[in-house]
Amino acid sequence: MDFVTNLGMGFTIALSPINLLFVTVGVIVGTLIGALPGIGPVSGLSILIPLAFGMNPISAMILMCGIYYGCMYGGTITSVLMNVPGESASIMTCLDGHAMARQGRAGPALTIAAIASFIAGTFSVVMLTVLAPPIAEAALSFGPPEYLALTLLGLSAISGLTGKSRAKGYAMALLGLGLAMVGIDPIDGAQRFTFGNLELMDGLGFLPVAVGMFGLGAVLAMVEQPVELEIMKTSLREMLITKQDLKDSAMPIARGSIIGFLIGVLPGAGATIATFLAYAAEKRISKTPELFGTGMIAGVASPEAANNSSTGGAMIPLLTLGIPGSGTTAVLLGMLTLFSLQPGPLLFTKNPDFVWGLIASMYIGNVMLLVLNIAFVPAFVAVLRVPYKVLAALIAVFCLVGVYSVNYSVQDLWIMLAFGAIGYITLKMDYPQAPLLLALVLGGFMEVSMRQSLKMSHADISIFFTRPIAAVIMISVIVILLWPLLSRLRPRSSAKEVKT
Amino acid sequence: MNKAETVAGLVFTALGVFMFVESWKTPYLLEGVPGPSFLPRWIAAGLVATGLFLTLRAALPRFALQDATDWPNRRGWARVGLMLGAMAVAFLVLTKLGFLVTMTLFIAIVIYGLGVRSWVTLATVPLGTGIALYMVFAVWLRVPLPKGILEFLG
Repeated sequence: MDFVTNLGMGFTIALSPINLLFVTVGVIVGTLIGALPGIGPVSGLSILIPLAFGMNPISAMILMCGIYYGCMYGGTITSVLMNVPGESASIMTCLDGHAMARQGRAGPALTIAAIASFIAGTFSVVMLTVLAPPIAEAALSFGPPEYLALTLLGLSAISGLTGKSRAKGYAMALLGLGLAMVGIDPIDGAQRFTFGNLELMDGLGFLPVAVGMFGLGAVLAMVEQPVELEIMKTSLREMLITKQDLKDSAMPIARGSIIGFLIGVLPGAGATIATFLAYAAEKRISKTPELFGTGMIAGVASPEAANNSSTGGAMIPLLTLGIPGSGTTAVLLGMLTLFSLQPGPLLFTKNPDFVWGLIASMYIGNVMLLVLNIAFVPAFVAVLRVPYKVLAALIAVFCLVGVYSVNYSVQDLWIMLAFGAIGYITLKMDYPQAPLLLALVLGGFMEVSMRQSLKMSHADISIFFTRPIAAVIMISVIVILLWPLLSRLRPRSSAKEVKT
Repeated sequence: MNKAETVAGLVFTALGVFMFVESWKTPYLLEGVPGPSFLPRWIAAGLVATGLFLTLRAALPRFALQDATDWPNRRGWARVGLMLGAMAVAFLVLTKLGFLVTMTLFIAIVIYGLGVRSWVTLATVPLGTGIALYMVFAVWLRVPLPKGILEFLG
């Protein structure tokens, strides 16, 4: 039970006063960000990364992870009280959560959501604790071919599964890869796409692109059509729930936790898909499916559990393999590389204090989330009353100063502005943004893995299919890429069978 | 035909072509293994292929309606333009006027442009925010934010 010892070490780090402060701040800030419609965890993390500079990496990551799962609950507040999802993973909560609010049961909806988030979040962190070490150990045998295969899997899954159009997802991923090529070639030192610009020799910079695309892009969408929202009132007394509420929520929470965790582990499938699947599963199992959407507490408990459980699941490929499976974990990976930390199996052996301190802080963060989100919902709601016209300007300024504070570069600000405009247009035209960010973060690593692999094999590409793990992953990539063609063949074959 | 989608497809195609042309400046193969322009050329080819696919798709009536974009009205574009324009001007004057003055003016102009008319809000929020951010970044995090015309304060 080596992980027990490691976890103990992690708790001594996470329970230090400064890290306790950061996890509390992270959860509060995350909840506030999640509550703001239009600003999701990706935008929020991107905007707040500059705050992490000057901190040690453990504290920075603890803060960012607190923001990550705080965001997951924050979106629930606006879903229930305003019928506006704070972020995409809270869409399903609108259906029954707001219906409960209209019946005068906003408090129980929010309380059950907080309890579901706590239980599911804790479950996923336990699973992370148990599963991460053996996966990391297995990954120590991975070489460049396996890493290339994994990055291709992550990219193809996110591009293919995100958004309405695969072609748009692939276009964004390819654009992200193209942006990742800017700078000095990591192996031969040649300049690529720098146009003689000294600052571009270091590459395009993950932060200005991420803050511009997600932060500024969201601000532009916010100001485009300012909306005055009606917020239902709630008080601390109204947060009490009944024994029946707990009984009706127990199994949905359990099912949502498992579904959320499993979906969170898969690259390309994030919290949003997890909540959709959890809600659909709950409705299918229910004896009264026709009541879903009218204020069923299971319709709140299950997606909320899936939502938070997916965060622990998503941390597994990030920490053990260095492969982010979603836009949010791509931002976390970007942040780690800014601290010169490379997630992956070696992180567990070279920086065990970082890994276990982070995992332990997630346990603490879940407890903080439960307490804060039940006791302080009225306080969080007060922030939503700040007019959008003021909030948009404040967030824009925060983006500006955040990006400037990293390299003190006005060129970074122009890059942020350009990607802000691109982010806004891609939002309007339904071009998924996560593939671009993921490709930007993984592109350099992918190229190095590919070229090292081909150097090992003297340019023989069969290396990717003769090594068992790489072969399995590459075949999965090919299936994902060819899935639209494969799925079109199936209905025709069944039609032929019916005719004969 | 969906004009916006057609333009988007053409933009991806053009970026792919540009990338392909630029990548000729570095070698494709070095001693028989991929060189600096190996991956960029394949990425460029992918961009051209997906760009052309998106362009052709946009021409089909079935997809034209499906992909219709909900663009903002004139006032919406004006608000978006205000935010982008104000940011651009802020970048141009940031080092000359300094962070505090630039941010205060930026926030004041943007919130006024978005419709805030309360003089209390216009007076307190920009200055309060500028000072708060200065304290966080310049004082606490010790980021050397430009002082500009307030340099004389030390």
